[in-house]
Parts: sequence; C-alpha cells; structure tokens
Amino acid sequence: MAKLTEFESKKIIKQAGIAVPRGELVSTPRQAEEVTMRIGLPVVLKIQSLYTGRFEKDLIKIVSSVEDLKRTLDYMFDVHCSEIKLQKLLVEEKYIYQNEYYLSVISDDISLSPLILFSENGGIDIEKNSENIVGRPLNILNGVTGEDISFLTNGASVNSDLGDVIKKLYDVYRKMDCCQLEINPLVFSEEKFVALDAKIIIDGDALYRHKELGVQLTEENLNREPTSLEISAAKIDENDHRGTVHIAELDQPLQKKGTRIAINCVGTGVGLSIMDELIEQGYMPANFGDTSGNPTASKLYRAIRLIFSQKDIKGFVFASCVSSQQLDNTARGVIKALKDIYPETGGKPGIPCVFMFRGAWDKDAMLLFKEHGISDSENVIMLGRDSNEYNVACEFDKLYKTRKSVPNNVKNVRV
Amino acid sequence: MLRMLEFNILSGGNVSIDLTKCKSCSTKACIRNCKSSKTRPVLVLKDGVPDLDFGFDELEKGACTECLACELDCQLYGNKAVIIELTVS
Amino acid sequence: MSILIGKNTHLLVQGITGRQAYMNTLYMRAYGTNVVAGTRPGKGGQSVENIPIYNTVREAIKTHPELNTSVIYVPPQAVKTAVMEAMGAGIKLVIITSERTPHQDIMELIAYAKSEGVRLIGPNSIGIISPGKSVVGLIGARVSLAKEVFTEGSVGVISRSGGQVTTCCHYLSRAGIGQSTALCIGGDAFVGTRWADVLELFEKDEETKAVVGYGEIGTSVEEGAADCIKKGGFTKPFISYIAGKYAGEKQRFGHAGAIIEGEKGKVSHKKDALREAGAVVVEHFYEVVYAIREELYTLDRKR
Repeated sequence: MAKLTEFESKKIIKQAGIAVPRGELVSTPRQAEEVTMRIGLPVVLKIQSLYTGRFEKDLIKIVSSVEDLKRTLDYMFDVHCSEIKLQKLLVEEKYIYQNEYYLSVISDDISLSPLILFSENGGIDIEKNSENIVGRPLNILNGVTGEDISFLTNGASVNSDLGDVIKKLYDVYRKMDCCQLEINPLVFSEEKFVALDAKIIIDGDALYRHKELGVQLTEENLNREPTSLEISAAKIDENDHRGTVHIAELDQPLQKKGTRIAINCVGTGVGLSIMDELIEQGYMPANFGDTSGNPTASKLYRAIRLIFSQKDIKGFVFASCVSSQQLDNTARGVIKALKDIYPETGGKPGIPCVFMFRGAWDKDAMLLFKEHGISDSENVIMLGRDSNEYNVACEFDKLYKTRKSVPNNVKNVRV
Repeated sequence: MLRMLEFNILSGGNVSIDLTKCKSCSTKACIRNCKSSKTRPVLVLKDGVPDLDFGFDELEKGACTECLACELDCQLYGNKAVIIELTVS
Repeated sequence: MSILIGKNTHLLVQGITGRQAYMNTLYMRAYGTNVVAGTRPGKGGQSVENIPIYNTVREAIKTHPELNTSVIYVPPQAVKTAVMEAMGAGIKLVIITSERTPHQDIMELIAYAKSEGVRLIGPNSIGIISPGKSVVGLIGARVSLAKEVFTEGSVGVISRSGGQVTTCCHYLSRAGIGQSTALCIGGDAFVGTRWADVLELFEKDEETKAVVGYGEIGTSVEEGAADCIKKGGFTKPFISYIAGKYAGEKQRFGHAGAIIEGEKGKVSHKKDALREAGAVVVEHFYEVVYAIREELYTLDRKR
C-alpha cells in the first residue's frame, strides 16, 4: 500500500471535480507568509505528514493574525520539522461551516467489494461516533447507482449535490486503484461541498498503473514512514520479479521485551509462527524477513546483508516452511552473504544462528552449508525436515545460552 | 586471448571471471552447477577456459539465474577466479 | 473422494510457456494430473513436452471440450484478462497462482465469478492437491517431495499460507495421518474462495472426516469459518492454528492480507470466534497433529 499525503490526495480529488480549499505547499516560513498574504487570514497551517492524529500532535494550527502566524510558523518549523522527516507545510484558506460530514470509499475484505461509508457526524471524533456511520457495499461491476445514493443519504438533511460528490469520489477510487479514500471532514459552505481533509491509500500492487505519482513502494507500516532499511529492501524486488522479499523493522518495544535477534524466513506463514515461538522464549525479532516464491540466490544475498546490517543483533534465525522453493539457491545466497559479512572466518557467523531448511532441495541446502564449513561453526545449528517451529526456538535458546557463557573471541562484524 | 570474462546480471551487478587463472584450473568447478533460465547452462568450456553460451543482452535480461554457484564452487575447488559483485543499497 | 480436484480434473495451463509454468506443468503431469492443454497468445500450434498450446482458451476448449479447470500463471497485470477469458469460455474452476495482482482487478473477478457460478481460488495461491490423484499449482514442487509429504487419507487441510499448507501435511503424514485434499486459499486479503466456502465443500465430501486450518493475522477468513460452523454449515471436527499473536498493529507481514487494523485481524479475536463455535485451536502449529489424532480417535470410537 502507498499512503499519499493530504496535499497529494487533495490534488487528485480536485482534478476529479471535488472542491478543496485554496492552498499551497511551502517549505520555508517566508513562503508560508507569502501564501498567507495571497489567501488572506485566517489560514490553516498543516504539516504534511503520514502520521495519524495530526491534531493531537499539534501538526495542524489555525492562525488569524499576523503575530500569531509568525509565532506559529517559528514553532512549526523549528520544533516539528526537526522531529519529523517531512518538511512540507500546507497553507490553506479557512472555511466557515456548520456540519462536518464523513465520506469514504474503502475496499472491504468482508463483502469483498467497494464499501461507501457516510456519516453526518464527521470530524476528528469519527471513531467515537462510528455508530452513526452508514455503510453500503457496491457491486463493482455496476458502480454507484441511484439506489446506493439514496440509501446512503436517506434522511440526511443535506443538499442533493452530495450524490454527485459520492460518484466523483468513487470514480477516483476506481481510477487510482485505491484501497482507501477518505474525506473527513467534508463540509457544506458557500453553496458547495468542500473537502477540508483527504486521505488516499493506493494499492501497492497497482502502482505500475500510476507511475505519475512517483511513489516508492515499501514494506508497509501504516503508522510511520518507512525506514532506510525498508526502502533498501523494497529496491531488491524493483527490477527483479523472481521471488519476493519482504523486510520490515518491527517497532520497539513490541508487546514483550527480550534479547534482540534478526530473522529471515521462507514464507510469511512460517515467519509469523517462528516469531511467536521466539518471543515466547524471550527473543525479540528486530525485523520480519520473508523471502518467498522462488527467489534468486542474489536476492537472498541482498536480503541477508540488509538484515545483518541492523544494529545490536544478538542472534539470527533462518527458517523455511516445507517449501517448494529451490532451497539450494536460497542456501547459496545466504552463504555468500555470510562470507562477505564475516570474511576473517570464511563465513562462520559471529553470533548464534539457527538455520532450518525443509522442503524441495533441503538436503542440497544442508550439504552446501557443510561444504563451505559454515555448519561446523560452534555458533551454528542446522535443522532439517524433522523439526518444527517450536524446535527452532528451543534450539536457538539452548545455543544462545551456551554461547553466551563462552568468551567471544570471534569479532562480531557488521556490514 | 581474452583475459577477463565479464557480464551484467538482471538484478544489478556483474559476474567477472579472471581467465588467466582458469587455464591452470584442474576442476573447472564453475561450470559444474551452472544453470540458465533455458535448458543449457550459461558457462561452457571453450579452449580450456569458461565461455558464455548466451549473449550479454540475454544474460542481463535474466538468462543468468543468479544462483551464485560458479563463484562459490570456484572459491572452494577452483583458482578463485570468479567474482560476483552484487549491488546492495 | 476429494474436493475441487481429483481424477476427473482436465487441466488447462494459462501462460504455459513461462519459466515457472513450464517447470510446474511437468511436475503436475509427473504427479498424475491430467494436463490437457496450455495457452499462450502467439504460440498456438506449438507444444510443451507434447502438451498442445493454443492462442486462446476458446480454441483449446474447441479441441478439448473436457477441459474443466484452469490454472493461471500469467504476470499480475495480465491476470484479469486471463481469468475473464477462462470464465467467458465456460471454465468453472480457476486457480490463480500469480502474486501481487491489483486487488480491484480481483474484486471484479470475484463479482463476475459469482454471477457466472465459477469457483475462483486465489490469487496468490500455491495450489491444490488431492493426494494420489491430482495436483494443480506449485504445491509440492517435486514429485519425490510431494509423495513423501502428501499422503492419501481423510483429513482436509486449508491454509492462508502456501508454505504452511505443505508444512501441515508434512506434520500429518509423518504421524501417519493422510489428507483428502489440501489447499492454499491465497495470502491476499481479497480471495475468491475463503475458509467457509471450503468447509462447505468438505462437509459434503464423504471421505473427509475432519479439517485442519492454518490461519494468521488479518482479514476475517477465520471468523467467517467460525460463523459457518456455528450456523451448521460444517459439522465435522475442525482444528486450527493461528499465527502472529505478537504481531503489532498496522504492520503488514509479507502476505497482503496479514495486517492488523484495530481489533480486526487479531489472533485473539480469531481464536475466540473459532473456540466459541466449537473448533479446537492449538497454541503451537505442530500440535495440530495431536489434536487431530484425538478427534479421529473419538470419531472411531463413536462408530
């Protein structure tokens, strides 16, 4: 998924014919003042960030006087822009209105169809007012019908133009391959509906149809910006569609604290299962890593290099499901990475590692580790088809405890 | 005689083989496990040294399966002539 | 008996000339699947290891009217056209293996399939296997592995993960418990067939005595199954494992469908729903073996 900023989202819905406030994007206080003069006070200053809850985080301010403007701009540029990565500020005209409406189109994985949501009680408290939301799943083959509109707006004391806004919004949803498209609040002011805030999330798998957006697909955490590790990881798949790599840094602290380790798995399912087992034994995965499909060895090499570049990793677990992947290729990628990360030991890792290979070509994978002398390392345990997710965590725990008591004469080399 | 065999690969990076080291290599291990996306391997033996059975263009478009076997096997059993550089951002 | 595929499967492979499709076709045929024909626009008239290739699905059906199942190996941007073509030509079971297909394309396909009475499996499904009879998709990968991991028997297996369906069958087979049919519904949030749909098929299948499910965070697939059981749509024993209990919110894990948003998609929610419906939920994946053994034992004693 690719989340667009408010400004980008508004640009798109404006093109579709939905009114948005006059506004400009600026990156310095001086520009902000110039734009304010052009628009006229009062204005709304909105930091363009993908963080949710911008109001509570003070990222949105309304200013009505010149003094107020200067003070607020200083505060916003000094305080916030040093803390968050996005340094763009949207300066917008301030609207006066009565009611705040909520309108969105989402891809609903229960009805497996687009779902339009509408509420007469929109605004920042929409989640608290969720019982007032009316939902209508659509038949994607038909689009928005008159019946859908009357169902949604039934009894709503609003202008009939609302139907027009709904249709236009749905067209954007379809045209832009959105997963979610939201206007909150939508207000009625000066005889028309105006979208005061907008949010668009685009399907990452459809980005090839929307190259004009210039969005870089990354492993998604919808709460925050992607990390540099995640951006690098996303690049691995960019030009090479043989197999897929998913690497995400897991937010700390997670529900449970523990010894920080790295993981990579063959298959999302086994990855999630292993994560659960390791956490229960007191080991906290710093990352989620999943190399699925039938990736090249070079893809594995890159993934492992990135995973080992994380700071303060105390161990590593690699586990495959009973996989259809050509695990000999997988093993070669891992081995080359280990050799480059630990050149002075010929690839023998400096931290405790458990490798579990199961599936097609699993024996070939194990042989390669033996052939290259890596499985001879005291830091390495190899597991095969007769083990399971729980074993992996137990074996890692045993290995980690044994190795911790041994003076570490192998330098822990990082990329 | 060609001293260096070099080709680019799809994912970004290249494979280079220092052919001056290959003449005296008794195993030619790089060829043993070589696989392409087609039924024939990328590397073939020609005049006692490895040669390519594919064009540079084909290799860069994915004919080389990037299994890394040539490098790993050469390191272990050959004259350490194969080096694969893979870009990591 | 088995569900979805078996000895009566006559398979069409769409996109048969691709690297993965080619290797896979040979595997499916070697396992015993009746692979009748393939399609690839522009390559009609050629063949892959004696399997004839046609330009279109219609052409293939004209020559081979027995075709009743199609497996899709085309790149994501071509999935919609390929599946529409199969449905338009009258194929009633379509398995989509392709990964990363735009989800709105899939929603269109699901809506169309529903109106035409077509069963859609996937996208992002590793496939289906009815051990000893037929395999469609990559599941198993090699005949030697498939014969070891999948054994004939009376337990149905459904999974949201392609890897874990094989892992599950491996655990079961090692314990001497065979499978009737095992399949992956696909790792995406928008899939043509969900657990509840498969449970209804297993309910009707006389050979299937119990079902095991591998579930994970995200979507409402497991809750849907719980609902199906509650309403009496499935009355046989159901054993499940749900992965990702420590997964954080709003973080996607590999599969497009594996993301928790708010309360929705949490492991605890799924476990509660399934247990409330009378299903057994185990804490470690390999424990499905013990649970199913117990259920089968109880069933035997009742008889």
